[in-house]
Amino acid sequence: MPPVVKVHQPINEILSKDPALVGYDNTKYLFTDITFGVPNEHRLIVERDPDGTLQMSDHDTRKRLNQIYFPIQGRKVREPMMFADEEKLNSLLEAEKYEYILDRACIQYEPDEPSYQKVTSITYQHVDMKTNYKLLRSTRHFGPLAFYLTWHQSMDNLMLELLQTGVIREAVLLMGLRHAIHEDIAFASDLNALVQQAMIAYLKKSTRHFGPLAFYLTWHQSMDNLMLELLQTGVIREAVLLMGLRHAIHEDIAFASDLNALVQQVLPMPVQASKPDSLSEEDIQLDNKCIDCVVKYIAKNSAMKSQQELALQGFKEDYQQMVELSRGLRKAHGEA
Amino acid sequence: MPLPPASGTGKYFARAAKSIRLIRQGCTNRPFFHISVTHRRRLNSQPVIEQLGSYDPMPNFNNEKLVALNLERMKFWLGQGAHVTTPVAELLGLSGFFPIHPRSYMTAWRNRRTEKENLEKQKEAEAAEAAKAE
Repeated sequence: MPPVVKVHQPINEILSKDPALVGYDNTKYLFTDITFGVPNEHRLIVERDPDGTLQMSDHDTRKRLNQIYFPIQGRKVREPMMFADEEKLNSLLEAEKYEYILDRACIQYEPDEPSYQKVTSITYQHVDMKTNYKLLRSTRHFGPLAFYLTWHQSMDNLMLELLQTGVIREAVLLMGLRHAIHEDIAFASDLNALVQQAMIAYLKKSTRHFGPLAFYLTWHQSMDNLMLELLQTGVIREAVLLMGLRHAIHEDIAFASDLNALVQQVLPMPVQASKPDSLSEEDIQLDNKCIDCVVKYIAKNSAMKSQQELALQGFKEDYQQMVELSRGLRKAHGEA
Repeated sequence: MPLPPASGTGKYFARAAKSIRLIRQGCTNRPFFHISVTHRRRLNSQPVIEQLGSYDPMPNFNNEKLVALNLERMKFWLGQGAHVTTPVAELLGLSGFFPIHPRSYMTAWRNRRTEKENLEKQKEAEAAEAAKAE
């Protein structure tokens, strides 16, 4: 995803002024430090003007010289006609070649350039006007599009389109984005809870993002939704680990020594993604300890007591059945 | 013929005197220079030890002259005791890496003087024409 950033400030750094050099030459001298291994944005590029001033070059010149000495494939030294000529850009927009325009803009410009922001905002506005969101969906430009529309308070068309296609969770996430940017939604606490649930459902599919999510929620003291979800799925050990994380960050749990001992026991075990199939006696002991711990947590620290208690109750009944089942199985197989 | 690598193909003798100089690489009527380090007693047509940059003396589309300098390697060779020829020292002076070379100041004030003289001549010629017309 191309980042959405502010427009850069112009560079006006004068290094020295030497009026005795007036008349040396009537052209500008541009000096580029081509030392190996320096990234383009840190490369030293200075210019000596005909009036003897030595100054750092501005962004346009820097970009041109970087492209001359260290070319990026696909980028042109002169601005391509499709961006320089407004009519050509308009004809491309009329032909609905949005992805082509945005891809080319990504190569040709840096994200903090005024021309990049101009071209992309024209394109986003055109997409919004024609409600052609499906042409950009599942591309790297959809996120910036949603952000742009939300930032400029014109996301209602997008919301309508989301509702018409029936992706209600995406609509909730869009509302969450709006609240995060403008803070103008009245039912914010409900919305935040919903957004968290939608995010959890979304991120649970990819285990790669789950750890950071858990850390983020715990850091902001809003991990009770996640806790509820864990209890409802019946992975009690993960719930204990989450409590351990909370204590490690905030140190606000009263029964810390029990918890820490338990966490030490749970950590070496393999990760529980869903309910286990069979239970040994050690598993049962450990899980009972975990249940006690969670009960204490719900009583003292939780912000969603009733819901979590219900979920825990459901889990306990379910768990009792499983214990009896596995004990019966073991008896039947005769290996008790 | 393929271009030699920037690290150079010339023979290197540690104790021989080095010099950083402009070496003309363009063709007829189109000068272009490499800034290279080579042995002091070697001809410009012979292979160099290392190329340190380039200098294009013809102004481009935007009326600019482009100079590229590999300052890290330049510092290394200066530390090894390489000599710097005047044209290179002038460029380095303009870039702010060296103090401004005295020859740059001389060129500047000579150019200013010529321009002033030309202006005076022009004024005199105009005055003479005006006197004739009267």
